[in-house]
Amino acid sequence: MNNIMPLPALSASVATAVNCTEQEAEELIRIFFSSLSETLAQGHNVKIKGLGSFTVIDDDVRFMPDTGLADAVNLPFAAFEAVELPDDFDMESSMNIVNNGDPDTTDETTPTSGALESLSEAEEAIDTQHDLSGNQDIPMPVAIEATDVDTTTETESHNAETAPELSTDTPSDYDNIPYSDTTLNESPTQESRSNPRWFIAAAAIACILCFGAGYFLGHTIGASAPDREIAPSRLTLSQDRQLQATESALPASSTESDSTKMYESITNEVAQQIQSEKSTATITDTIGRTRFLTTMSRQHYGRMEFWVYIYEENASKLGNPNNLSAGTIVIIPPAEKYGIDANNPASVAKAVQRGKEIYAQFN
Amino acid sequence: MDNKQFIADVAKKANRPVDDINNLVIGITECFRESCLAGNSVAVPGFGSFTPLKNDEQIVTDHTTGKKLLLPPEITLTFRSSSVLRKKITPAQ
Repeated sequence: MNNIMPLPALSASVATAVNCTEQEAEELIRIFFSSLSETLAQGHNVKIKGLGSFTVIDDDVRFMPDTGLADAVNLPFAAFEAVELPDDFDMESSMNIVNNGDPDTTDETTPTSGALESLSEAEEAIDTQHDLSGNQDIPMPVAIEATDVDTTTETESHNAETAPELSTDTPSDYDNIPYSDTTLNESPTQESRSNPRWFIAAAAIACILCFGAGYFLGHTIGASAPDREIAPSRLTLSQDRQLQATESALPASSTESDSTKMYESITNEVAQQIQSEKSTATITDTIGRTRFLTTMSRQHYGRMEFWVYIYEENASKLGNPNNLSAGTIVIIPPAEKYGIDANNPASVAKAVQRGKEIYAQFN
Repeated sequence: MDNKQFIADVAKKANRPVDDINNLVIGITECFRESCLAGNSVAVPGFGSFTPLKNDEQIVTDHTTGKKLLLPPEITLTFRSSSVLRKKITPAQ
Protein backbone atom coordinates (compact mmCIF):
# COMPACT_ATOMS: atom_id res chain seq x y z
CA MET A 1 0.00 0.00 0.00
CA ASN A 2 1.34 3.42 -1.01
CA ASN A 3 4.25 1.65 -2.63
CA ILE A 4 5.80 2.19 -6.01
CA MET A 5 5.66 -0.69 -8.42
CA PRO A 6 9.08 -0.86 -10.05
CA LEU A 7 9.74 -1.71 -13.65
CA PRO A 8 10.67 -5.35 -13.03
CA ALA A 9 7.34 -5.94 -11.30
CA LEU A 10 5.56 -4.28 -14.18
CA SER A 11 7.51 -6.43 -16.61
CA ALA A 12 6.54 -9.56 -14.75
CA SER A 13 2.87 -8.66 -15.03
CA VAL A 14 3.15 -7.80 -18.71
CA ALA A 15 5.16 -10.93 -19.57
CA THR A 16 2.16 -13.03 -18.72
CA ALA A 17 -0.10 -11.01 -20.99
CA VAL A 18 2.31 -10.93 -23.91
CA ASN A 19 3.47 -14.52 -23.41
CA CYS A 20 7.15 -13.74 -23.35
CA THR A 21 9.98 -13.65 -20.86
CA GLU A 22 10.30 -10.88 -18.31
CA GLN A 23 13.35 -9.48 -20.03
CA GLU A 24 11.54 -9.28 -23.34
CA ALA A 25 8.55 -7.71 -21.62
CA GLU A 26 10.81 -5.14 -19.99
CA GLU A 27 12.35 -4.32 -23.35
CA LEU A 28 8.91 -3.96 -24.90
CA ILE A 29 7.83 -1.61 -22.13
CA ARG A 30 10.93 0.52 -22.65
CA ILE A 31 10.29 0.74 -26.38
CA PHE A 32 6.63 1.51 -25.80
CA PHE A 33 7.20 4.42 -23.48
CA SER A 34 10.23 5.59 -25.42
CA SER A 35 8.08 5.88 -28.54
CA LEU A 36 5.46 7.63 -26.52
CA SER A 37 8.02 10.12 -25.22
CA GLU A 38 9.35 10.82 -28.69
CA THR A 39 5.88 11.34 -30.09
CA LEU A 40 5.00 13.74 -27.30
CA ALA A 41 8.32 15.53 -27.72
CA GLN A 42 7.38 16.17 -31.36
CA GLY A 43 4.31 18.01 -30.11
CA HIS A 44 1.78 15.30 -30.98
CA ASN A 45 -0.89 14.17 -28.58
CA VAL A 46 -1.32 10.44 -28.26
CA LYS A 47 -4.44 8.47 -27.58
CA ILE A 48 -4.02 4.84 -26.57
CA LYS A 49 -7.10 2.71 -26.51
CA GLY A 50 -7.65 1.13 -23.13
CA LEU A 51 -5.01 3.24 -21.41
CA GLY A 52 -5.85 6.87 -22.05
CA SER A 53 -4.74 10.00 -23.80
CA PHE A 54 -1.55 11.96 -23.31
CA THR A 55 -1.68 15.65 -24.13
CA VAL A 56 1.14 18.15 -24.17
CA ILE A 57 0.12 21.33 -22.35
CA ASP A 58 2.50 24.07 -21.21
CA ASP A 59 5.69 22.02 -21.39
CA ASP A 60 4.08 19.23 -19.44
CA VAL A 61 2.14 16.11 -20.22
CA ARG A 62 -1.43 15.71 -19.05
CA PHE A 63 -2.90 12.25 -18.83
CA MET A 64 -6.59 11.44 -19.08
CA PRO A 65 -7.31 7.77 -18.37
CA ASP A 66 -9.62 5.85 -20.60
CA THR A 67 -13.18 5.41 -19.36
CA GLY A 68 -12.75 1.73 -18.65
CA LEU A 69 -9.54 2.23 -16.73
CA ALA A 70 -10.97 5.17 -14.79
CA ASP A 71 -14.01 3.13 -13.80
CA ALA A 72 -11.83 0.20 -12.81
CA VAL A 73 -9.65 2.41 -10.61
CA ASN A 74 -12.74 3.99 -9.02
CA LEU A 75 -14.35 0.60 -8.39
CA PRO A 76 -14.60 1.05 -4.58
CA PHE A 77 -16.79 4.13 -5.08
CA ALA A 78 -18.52 3.12 -8.28
CA ALA A 79 -21.84 2.56 -6.54
CA PHE A 80 -22.10 6.17 -5.39
CA GLU A 81 -23.36 9.08 -7.37
CA ALA A 82 -24.03 12.75 -6.86
CA VAL A 83 -27.00 13.53 -4.66
CA GLU A 84 -28.99 16.73 -4.69
CA LEU A 85 -29.33 18.15 -1.20
CA PRO A 86 -32.49 19.83 0.08
CA ASP A 87 -32.54 23.59 0.41
CA ASP A 88 -32.78 23.44 4.19
CA PHE A 89 -29.77 21.19 4.50
CA ASP A 90 -27.60 22.44 7.36
CA MET A 91 -24.02 22.03 6.30
CA GLU A 92 -22.57 23.46 9.50
CA SER A 93 -24.17 20.88 11.76
CA SER A 94 -23.20 18.04 9.46
CA MET A 95 -19.64 19.26 9.34
CA ASN A 96 -19.50 19.34 13.15
CA ILE A 97 -20.49 15.71 13.24
CA VAL A 98 -18.15 14.17 10.70
CA ASN A 99 -14.51 14.63 10.03
CA ASN A 100 -13.83 17.56 7.78
CA GLY A 101 -11.05 16.27 5.58
CA ASP A 102 -8.52 16.13 8.37
CA PRO A 103 -5.38 14.66 6.87
CA ASP A 104 -4.94 12.47 9.92
CA THR A 105 -8.12 10.61 9.22
CA THR A 106 -7.79 10.35 5.47
CA ASP A 107 -8.25 6.93 3.99
CA GLU A 108 -4.82 5.37 3.74
CA THR A 109 -5.63 2.89 1.02
CA THR A 110 -4.63 5.47 -1.54
CA PRO A 111 -1.93 8.07 -1.21
CA THR A 112 -2.85 11.71 -0.83
CA SER A 113 -1.16 14.62 -2.49
CA GLY A 114 1.52 14.56 0.21
CA ALA A 115 2.45 11.04 -0.70
CA LEU A 116 2.45 12.07 -4.33
CA GLU A 117 5.24 14.52 -3.57
CA SER A 118 7.36 11.93 -1.80
CA LEU A 119 6.89 9.50 -4.66
CA SER A 120 7.87 12.11 -7.20
CA GLU A 121 11.07 12.87 -5.30
CA ALA A 122 12.09 9.22 -5.42
CA GLU A 123 11.22 9.04 -9.07
CA GLU A 124 13.28 12.14 -9.84
CA ALA A 125 16.28 10.46 -8.26
CA ILE A 126 15.74 7.45 -10.51
CA ASP A 127 15.32 9.54 -13.66
CA THR A 128 18.55 11.41 -13.24
CA GLN A 129 20.47 8.17 -13.55
CA HIS A 130 19.06 6.81 -16.73
CA ASP A 131 16.64 7.16 -19.61
CA LEU A 132 14.66 4.74 -21.67
CA SER A 133 17.34 4.39 -24.33
CA GLY A 134 18.92 1.81 -22.06
CA ASN A 135 22.40 3.32 -22.21
CA GLN A 136 22.83 2.99 -18.49
CA ASP A 137 21.96 0.35 -16.02
CA ILE A 138 18.74 0.97 -14.25
CA PRO A 139 18.99 0.55 -10.51
CA MET A 140 16.31 -1.38 -8.72
CA PRO A 141 13.90 1.19 -7.32
CA VAL A 142 13.31 0.96 -3.64
CA ALA A 143 9.78 0.66 -2.39
CA ILE A 144 8.88 3.82 -0.62
CA GLU A 145 6.18 4.16 1.99
CA ALA A 146 4.39 7.43 2.36
CA THR A 147 5.44 9.15 5.56
CA ASP A 148 2.19 10.93 6.20
CA VAL A 149 0.00 7.86 6.54
CA ASP A 150 -1.72 7.51 9.85
CA THR A 151 -1.46 3.87 10.89
CA THR A 152 -4.00 4.31 13.63
CA THR A 153 -6.71 4.73 11.04
CA GLU A 154 -6.00 1.48 9.28
CA THR A 155 -9.19 -0.10 10.54
CA GLU A 156 -11.15 2.95 9.51
CA SER A 157 -10.09 2.54 5.91
CA HIS A 158 -12.41 -0.41 5.38
CA ASN A 159 -15.28 1.44 6.93
CA ALA A 160 -14.52 4.44 4.76
CA GLU A 161 -14.97 2.37 1.62
CA THR A 162 -18.29 0.84 2.62
CA ALA A 163 -19.79 3.73 4.57
CA PRO A 164 -18.64 7.00 3.10
CA GLU A 165 -18.55 10.09 5.22
CA LEU A 166 -21.16 12.77 4.96
CA SER A 167 -20.55 16.05 3.27
CA THR A 168 -17.31 17.86 3.70
CA ASP A 169 -16.47 21.02 1.93
CA THR A 170 -13.10 20.15 0.53
CA PRO A 171 -11.63 22.12 -2.40
CA SER A 172 -12.50 21.01 -5.88
CA ASP A 173 -12.06 22.13 -9.41
CA TYR A 174 -15.31 21.46 -11.21
CA ASP A 175 -15.44 23.91 -14.08
CA ASN A 176 -19.02 23.23 -15.12
CA ILE A 177 -20.64 24.05 -11.83
CA PRO A 178 -19.89 27.59 -10.64
CA TYR A 179 -19.63 27.89 -6.93
CA SER A 180 -18.27 30.48 -4.61
CA ASP A 181 -15.75 28.89 -2.35
CA THR A 182 -13.63 26.79 -4.62
CA THR A 183 -10.38 27.70 -3.04
CA LEU A 184 -11.01 26.90 0.52
CA ASN A 185 -7.44 27.31 1.43
CA GLU A 186 -8.20 27.83 5.00
CA SER A 187 -8.41 24.77 7.12
CA PRO A 188 -11.44 24.38 9.33
CA THR A 189 -9.41 25.31 12.39
CA GLN A 190 -8.25 28.54 10.76
CA GLU A 191 -11.77 29.52 9.83
CA SER A 192 -13.05 28.67 13.28
CA ARG A 193 -10.30 30.82 14.76
CA SER A 194 -11.33 33.81 12.67
CA ASN A 195 -14.91 33.76 14.01
CA PRO A 196 -13.91 34.31 17.67
CA ARG A 197 -11.55 37.08 16.58
CA TRP A 198 -14.34 38.81 14.73
CA PHE A 199 -16.64 38.40 17.69
CA ILE A 200 -14.04 39.74 20.14
CA ALA A 201 -13.41 42.78 17.94
CA ALA A 202 -17.12 43.50 17.67
CA ALA A 203 -17.58 43.12 21.41
CA ALA A 204 -14.68 45.50 22.09
CA ILE A 205 -16.12 48.13 19.78
CA ALA A 206 -19.54 47.81 21.41
CA CYS A 207 -18.03 48.21 24.88
CA ILE A 208 -16.13 51.32 23.82
CA LEU A 209 -19.27 52.86 22.34
CA CYS A 210 -21.29 52.10 25.48
CA PHE A 211 -18.61 53.52 27.71
CA GLY A 212 -18.35 56.66 25.63
CA ALA A 213 -22.09 57.18 25.59
CA GLY A 214 -22.34 56.57 29.29
CA TYR A 215 -19.49 58.93 30.03
CA PHE A 216 -20.94 61.63 27.82
CA LEU A 217 -24.37 61.19 29.35
CA GLY A 218 -23.13 61.21 32.92
CA HIS A 219 -20.84 64.15 32.34
CA THR A 220 -23.54 66.18 30.70
CA ILE A 221 -26.14 65.45 33.34
CA GLY A 222 -23.72 66.14 36.13
CA ALA A 223 -22.71 69.48 34.68
CA SER A 224 -26.25 70.61 34.10
CA ALA A 225 -27.82 69.54 37.36
CA PRO A 226 -26.78 72.09 39.86
CA ASP A 227 -29.93 71.48 41.92
CA ARG A 228 -29.05 67.92 42.63
CA GLU A 229 -30.05 67.08 46.08
CA ILE A 230 -27.34 66.17 48.49
CA ALA A 231 -27.87 64.98 51.97
CA PRO A 232 -27.22 67.99 54.13
CA SER A 233 -25.29 65.94 56.62
CA ARG A 234 -22.63 65.29 54.04
CA LEU A 235 -22.01 68.87 53.15
CA THR A 236 -19.31 70.81 54.78
CA LEU A 237 -19.74 74.45 55.50
CA SER A 238 -17.85 75.56 52.41
CA GLN A 239 -19.82 73.19 50.17
CA ASP A 240 -23.05 74.44 51.60
CA ARG A 241 -22.07 78.01 50.84
CA GLN A 242 -21.09 77.05 47.29
CA LEU A 243 -24.40 75.36 46.82
CA GLN A 244 -26.27 78.37 48.03
CA ALA A 245 -24.23 80.59 45.70
CA THR A 246 -24.99 78.35 42.76
CA GLU A 247 -28.66 78.27 43.53
CA SER A 248 -28.76 81.98 43.74
CA ALA A 249 -27.05 82.33 40.39
CA LEU A 250 -29.75 80.30 38.70
CA PRO A 251 -32.57 82.13 37.02
CA ALA A 252 -35.70 82.43 38.97
CA SER A 253 -37.59 80.11 36.64
CA SER A 254 -35.18 77.21 37.17
CA THR A 255 -37.27 74.39 38.55
CA GLU A 256 -37.19 70.66 38.76
CA SER A 257 -39.20 70.36 35.54
CA ASP A 258 -36.51 72.27 33.65
CA SER A 259 -33.82 69.85 34.75
CA THR A 260 -36.04 66.97 33.78
CA LYS A 261 -36.58 68.48 30.37
CA MET A 262 -32.86 69.08 30.01
CA TYR A 263 -32.20 65.49 30.93
CA GLU A 264 -34.72 64.31 28.40
CA SER A 265 -33.26 66.52 25.72
CA ILE A 266 -29.81 65.21 26.41
CA THR A 267 -30.93 61.60 26.28
CA ASN A 268 -32.79 62.31 23.08
CA GLU A 269 -29.70 63.85 21.57
CA VAL A 270 -27.61 60.86 22.54
CA ALA A 271 -30.21 58.46 21.23
CA GLN A 272 -30.38 60.33 17.93
CA GLN A 273 -26.62 60.30 17.70
CA ILE A 274 -26.50 56.56 18.26
CA GLN A 275 -29.27 56.03 15.74
CA SER A 276 -27.44 58.07 13.14
CA GLU A 277 -24.31 56.08 13.78
CA LYS A 278 -26.23 52.88 13.27
CA SER A 279 -27.73 54.09 10.03
CA THR A 280 -24.35 55.09 8.63
CA ALA A 281 -22.56 52.03 9.99
CA THR A 282 -21.21 49.71 7.34
CA ILE A 283 -22.74 46.25 7.28
CA THR A 284 -20.24 43.51 6.56
CA ASP A 285 -20.39 39.80 6.18
CA THR A 286 -17.89 37.02 5.80
CA ILE A 287 -17.71 34.40 3.06
CA GLY A 288 -17.57 30.96 4.56
CA ARG A 289 -17.97 27.31 3.71
CA THR A 290 -21.72 27.61 4.16
CA ARG A 291 -22.12 31.28 3.42
CA PHE A 292 -21.95 32.40 -0.19
CA LEU A 293 -22.86 35.64 -1.86
CA THR A 294 -26.26 34.20 -2.68
CA THR A 295 -26.79 33.30 0.96
CA MET A 296 -26.01 36.85 2.04
CA SER A 297 -28.21 38.27 -0.70
CA ARG A 298 -31.13 36.13 0.36
CA GLN A 299 -30.71 37.24 3.97
CA HIS A 300 -30.17 40.96 3.42
CA TYR A 301 -32.26 41.61 0.32
CA GLY A 302 -34.78 38.81 0.26
CA ARG A 303 -33.62 37.17 -2.99
CA MET A 304 -30.39 35.50 -4.00
CA GLU A 305 -30.30 37.18 -7.41
CA PHE A 306 -29.03 40.38 -5.84
CA TRP A 307 -25.67 38.79 -5.06
CA VAL A 308 -24.34 40.72 -8.03
CA TYR A 309 -24.52 43.98 -6.11
CA ILE A 310 -22.60 42.56 -3.19
CA TYR A 311 -20.03 41.42 -5.71
CA GLU A 312 -19.89 44.85 -7.39
CA GLU A 313 -19.44 46.54 -4.04
CA ASN A 314 -16.43 44.33 -3.35
CA ALA A 315 -15.24 43.57 -6.87
CA SER A 316 -11.74 44.87 -6.24
CA LYS A 317 -10.97 42.18 -3.69
CA LEU A 318 -13.14 39.33 -4.97
CA GLY A 319 -12.05 38.87 -8.54
CA ASN A 320 -13.57 35.83 -10.18
CA PRO A 321 -16.94 35.12 -8.51
CA ASN A 322 -16.36 31.41 -9.08
CA ASN A 323 -13.12 31.56 -7.14
CA LEU A 324 -13.87 33.17 -3.79
CA SER A 325 -11.89 32.49 -0.68
CA ALA A 326 -13.49 31.60 2.62
CA GLY A 327 -12.88 34.24 5.28
CA THR A 328 -13.16 37.15 2.89
CA ILE A 329 -15.06 40.01 4.51
CA VAL A 330 -17.42 41.76 2.12
CA ILE A 331 -19.42 44.95 2.50
CA ILE A 332 -23.18 44.65 2.15
CA PRO A 333 -24.32 47.78 0.34
CA PRO A 334 -27.62 49.41 1.28
CA ALA A 335 -30.51 48.40 -0.91
CA GLU A 336 -31.14 51.99 -1.96
CA LYS A 337 -27.72 52.30 -3.53
CA TYR A 338 -28.45 49.84 -6.32
CA GLY A 339 -32.23 50.08 -6.37
CA ILE A 340 -32.67 46.63 -4.89
CA ASP A 341 -36.27 45.63 -4.45
CA ALA A 342 -37.19 41.99 -4.00
CA ASN A 343 -40.82 42.72 -4.82
CA ASN A 344 -40.00 44.41 -8.12
CA PRO A 345 -39.65 41.95 -11.04
CA ALA A 346 -37.72 44.54 -13.04
CA SER A 347 -35.15 44.88 -10.29
CA VAL A 348 -34.76 41.10 -10.13
CA ALA A 349 -34.43 40.82 -13.90
CA LYS A 350 -31.81 43.53 -13.91
CA ALA A 351 -29.82 41.68 -11.28
CA VAL A 352 -30.01 38.43 -13.27
CA GLN A 353 -28.77 40.19 -16.39
CA ARG A 354 -25.95 41.76 -14.45
CA GLY A 355 -24.99 38.36 -13.14
CA LYS A 356 -24.67 37.02 -16.68
CA GLU A 357 -22.47 39.95 -17.59
CA ILE A 358 -20.20 39.32 -14.64
CA TYR A 359 -19.81 35.63 -15.47
CA ALA A 360 -19.12 36.51 -19.09
CA GLN A 361 -16.11 38.52 -18.02
CA PHE A 362 -14.46 35.46 -16.55
CA ASN A 363 -15.55 32.77 -19.00
CA MET B 1 -1.72 10.54 -33.19
CA ASP B 2 -4.43 7.96 -32.85
CA ASN B 3 -4.20 4.53 -31.29
CA LYS B 4 -3.79 2.55 -34.49
CA GLN B 5 -0.98 4.70 -35.77
CA PHE B 6 0.90 4.66 -32.49
CA ILE B 7 0.60 0.88 -32.05
CA ALA B 8 1.89 0.37 -35.57
CA ASP B 9 4.82 2.64 -34.85
CA VAL B 10 5.73 0.73 -31.68
CA ALA B 11 5.35 -2.61 -33.41
CA LYS B 12 7.72 -1.48 -36.11
CA LYS B 13 10.34 -0.34 -33.61
CA ALA B 14 10.03 -3.49 -31.50
CA ASN B 15 9.95 -5.74 -34.54
CA ARG B 16 6.88 -7.41 -33.19
CA PRO B 17 3.41 -8.04 -34.56
CA VAL B 18 0.70 -5.52 -33.79
CA ASP B 19 -1.21 -8.08 -31.72
CA ASP B 20 1.70 -8.35 -29.31
CA ILE B 21 1.74 -4.62 -28.82
CA ASN B 22 -2.03 -4.61 -28.24
CA ASN B 23 -1.55 -7.34 -25.66
CA LEU B 24 1.20 -5.23 -24.19
CA VAL B 25 -1.19 -2.32 -23.74
CA ILE B 26 -3.76 -4.64 -22.18
CA GLY B 27 -1.13 -5.97 -19.79
CA ILE B 28 -0.01 -2.50 -18.83
CA THR B 29 -3.59 -1.39 -18.27
CA GLU B 30 -4.35 -4.43 -16.16
CA CYS B 31 -1.23 -3.81 -14.13
CA PHE B 32 -2.26 -0.21 -13.56
CA ARG B 33 -5.69 -1.31 -12.46
CA GLU B 34 -4.44 -3.88 -9.96
CA SER B 35 -1.81 -1.57 -8.63
CA CYS B 36 -4.20 1.33 -8.16
CA LEU B 37 -6.78 -0.84 -6.41
CA ALA B 38 -4.04 -1.82 -3.98
CA GLY B 39 -3.18 1.84 -3.49
CA ASN B 40 0.20 1.55 -5.15
CA SER B 41 1.79 3.68 -7.81
CA VAL B 42 3.44 2.56 -11.02
CA ALA B 43 6.69 4.26 -11.95
CA VAL B 44 8.08 4.10 -15.45
CA PRO B 45 11.70 5.24 -15.50
CA GLY B 46 12.28 8.16 -17.80
CA PHE B 47 8.58 8.71 -18.39
CA GLY B 48 6.65 9.31 -15.20
CA SER B 49 4.56 7.77 -12.50
CA PHE B 50 0.92 6.83 -12.38
CA THR B 51 -0.61 7.32 -8.95
CA PRO B 52 -4.12 6.76 -7.63
CA LEU B 53 -5.46 9.80 -5.84
CA LYS B 54 -8.54 9.87 -3.71
CA ASN B 55 -10.77 12.95 -3.78
CA ASP B 56 -13.01 13.27 -0.73
CA GLU B 57 -16.71 13.92 -0.99
CA GLN B 58 -17.67 17.54 -1.21
CA ILE B 59 -20.63 19.82 -1.54
CA VAL B 60 -20.86 22.16 -4.47
CA THR B 61 -23.48 24.81 -5.08
CA ASP B 62 -24.76 25.94 -8.42
CA HIS B 63 -25.20 29.71 -8.22
CA THR B 64 -27.60 29.82 -11.11
CA THR B 65 -30.07 27.39 -9.57
CA GLY B 66 -29.03 27.56 -5.94
CA LYS B 67 -29.05 23.77 -5.71
CA LYS B 68 -26.57 21.95 -3.55
CA LEU B 69 -25.01 18.73 -4.78
CA LEU B 70 -23.16 16.18 -2.67
CA LEU B 71 -20.43 14.69 -4.84
CA PRO B 72 -19.25 11.25 -3.69
CA PRO B 73 -15.58 10.43 -3.11
CA GLU B 74 -13.70 9.03 -6.04
CA ILE B 75 -10.31 7.62 -6.92
CA THR B 76 -8.66 9.02 -10.00
CA LEU B 77 -5.54 7.89 -11.77
CA THR B 78 -3.13 10.80 -11.97
CA PHE B 79 0.06 11.07 -13.91
CA ARG B 80 3.19 12.98 -13.07
CA SER B 81 5.76 13.32 -15.82
CA SER B 82 9.41 12.85 -15.06
CA SER B 83 12.07 15.48 -15.55
CA VAL B 84 13.51 13.46 -18.43
CA LEU B 85 10.23 13.63 -20.29
CA ARG B 86 9.79 17.32 -19.56
CA LYS B 87 13.24 18.05 -20.86
CA LYS B 88 12.40 16.26 -24.08
CA ILE B 89 9.20 18.22 -24.50
CA THR B 90 10.49 21.68 -23.68
CA PRO B 91 12.84 22.20 -26.64
CA ALA B 92 10.07 21.18 -29.03
CA GLN B 93 7.71 23.93 -27.82
